[in-house]
Amino acid sequence: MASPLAQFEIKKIIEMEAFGYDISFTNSSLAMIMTVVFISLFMYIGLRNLEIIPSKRQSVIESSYEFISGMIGDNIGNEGMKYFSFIFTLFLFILVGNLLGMLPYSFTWTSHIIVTFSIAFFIFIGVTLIAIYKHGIVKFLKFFAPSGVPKPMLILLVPIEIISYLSRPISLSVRLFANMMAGHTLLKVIGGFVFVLGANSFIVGGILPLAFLIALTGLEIVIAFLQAYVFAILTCLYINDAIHLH
Amino acid sequence: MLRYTFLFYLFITDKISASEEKGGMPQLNPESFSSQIFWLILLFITLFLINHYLFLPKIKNIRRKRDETIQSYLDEAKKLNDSFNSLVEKMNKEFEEVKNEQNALIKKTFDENKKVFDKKILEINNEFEDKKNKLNSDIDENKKMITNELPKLCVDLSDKLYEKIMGEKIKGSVSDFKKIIGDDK
Repeated sequence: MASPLAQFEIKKIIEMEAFGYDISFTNSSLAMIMTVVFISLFMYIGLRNLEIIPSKRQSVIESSYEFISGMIGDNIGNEGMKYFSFIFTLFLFILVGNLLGMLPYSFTWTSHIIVTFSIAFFIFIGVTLIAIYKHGIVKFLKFFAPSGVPKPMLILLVPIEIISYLSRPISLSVRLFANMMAGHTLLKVIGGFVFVLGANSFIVGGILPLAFLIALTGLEIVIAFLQAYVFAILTCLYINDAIHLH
Repeated sequence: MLRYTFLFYLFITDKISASEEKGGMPQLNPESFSSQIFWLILLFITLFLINHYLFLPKIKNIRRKRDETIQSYLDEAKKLNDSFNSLVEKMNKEFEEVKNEQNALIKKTFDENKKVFDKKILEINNEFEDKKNKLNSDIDENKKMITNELPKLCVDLSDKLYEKIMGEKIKGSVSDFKKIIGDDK
């Protein structure tokens, strides 16, 4: 019986190297490519015959467009529409990555901390640059010292604000990675129960864990959507902070 | 097409998972970090560019077209509504004018008729009065004539009756008759 963590193993398919760095094509890369391919195909099929009165496929895509547009409108406002393409891509990339990972034998690239952290880190850098570009470095630094706070309190508050700001990419990435990894590990463990216990007593040992496994799979699909949503909405909130600097 | 892509993906991943597996937590193995970051950046940027330059403009375009179509329909509906309202207003105005005209005509006709009717009634009354006067004078005349002729007729009748009964002719006088009936004045 394989370890529940074995599903997260990175396996090289094509070995590659550039500037001394390993850039091998792995199962994770394949899963990412499939994510891009699925999103592109999905969009291509949905937007093939555009109509004023949309078809079912076009409606699905337009609904996701409206969903992200509403999310940006609610959290950032009209100024946030500049970042629409980025947030739309981010949401779909993570969502489809999570959902493809639910397929048996497939690979969940969002369950790797380095991937989620990289995305979160780039967002963090981008958001910080937006804030500095929009408001200047001085005003940006004032963000860590809330106005109206007594000066002695600032000694305590500023480090807390800085730590809280710096922990953003960590919390953002760990949330997604931990949810995905925990969910898939749990599914694998319960799947193991079905296999092992089912061999001994079919009804009690096999059917019950199988029912539980099916329910958990449903839950995991919801989590897959929820985590993509949380990632996107937190990105919106960070961008909003950068634009408006409360 | 999506279905075949799914099947191909499952086929490939099945082959890969079948290879040997190591222990521990693979997420913490730094060997694969550079490769994962490289492919993540490459593929995310690819997807971003595809979305930004290919798919999203299409969606924006069709949504803009839809909004324009809806707006044009709304404008047209508003125009129709406005023209309908002005027609109704014009119709009401015309209706009011016609109503006033009719009322004036009815009043005029009524007044004229009343005048004719009053004149006719007056004429009839005059005629009636004339006829009444004439009748009265006739009656008086007849009465006078009957008063004058009646004694003579009565005397003649009594003479004839006397002759029939008695077989002898007599000649009564009117003055005697008048004395008998006490009308000799």
